[in-house]
Amino acid sequence: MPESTKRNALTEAVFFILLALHEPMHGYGIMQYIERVTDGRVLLGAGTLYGALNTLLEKRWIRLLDSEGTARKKEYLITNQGREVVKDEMERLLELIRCGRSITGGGIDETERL
Amino acid sequence: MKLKDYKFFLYYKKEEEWINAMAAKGYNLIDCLFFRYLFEDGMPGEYGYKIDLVKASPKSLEGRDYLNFLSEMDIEVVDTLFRWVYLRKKVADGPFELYSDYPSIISQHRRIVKMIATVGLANIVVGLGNLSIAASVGTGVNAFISCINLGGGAILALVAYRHYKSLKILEKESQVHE
Repeated sequence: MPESTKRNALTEAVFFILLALHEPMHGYGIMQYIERVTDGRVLLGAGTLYGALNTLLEKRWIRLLDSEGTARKKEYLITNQGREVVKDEMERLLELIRCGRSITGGGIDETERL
Repeated sequence: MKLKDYKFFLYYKKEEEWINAMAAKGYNLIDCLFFRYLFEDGMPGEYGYKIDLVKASPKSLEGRDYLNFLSEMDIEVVDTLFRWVYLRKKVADGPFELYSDYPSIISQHRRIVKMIATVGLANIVVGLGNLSIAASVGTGVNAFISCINLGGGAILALVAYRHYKSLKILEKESQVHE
């Protein structure tokens, strides 16, 4: 089935994986990165990470880095297509915040910096 | 020192809880074959254990790729039984979760329901076949085998139904929360 051109919301796991892979990283590194940047709120399961990485490779939002044959762990990096997806998602999240603020009249100070 | 124990579980989560309770007492699972579990002495609470039903056979290319990935995460494969895998990770190496979001948890539940329902259905079909042979030829052996198959099939159907109910709850929850 062809992929829809309309972008749906990313899962939190996928969003953070794409953020992590703005620099080359292996699976364990991704897991640690996400735990660190979310102050331990998001703990990614190994099976969840494996499935997400394979899906993102299929979609070509990330790519596998060529190893010299010495690296035991596979390393991944985001592609240009993946970077566009992250930008679109950030736009979507901003829209959510804008809508929320306009109706509730309040919000979180940190969003001002976005 | 090694310890052998025999147990029967209908629910893999109960089995997982028991294996973790043994690990907390210093008995670390090293081998498993149907109802027989083999433990070796270790430090109490050194390992956390998980049981997973993997998508592909652990012997296939896809299955091996997944298990290699887990080993990159410091997760050790203790044993495999068909598509069931027994995994462990040192508690000191950090939290041990396999599935952490609704899509992957739901997908794992679907695999479990499908597997148990298939085995249950196969038992019922074989049981009915034997029952029909027993009715036409009148052999006690076929009647006995039929009872075992039908009984096993009925139990597995109940187990599959219980997992199916959990799956439906998860699916509903996933419509509201991520």
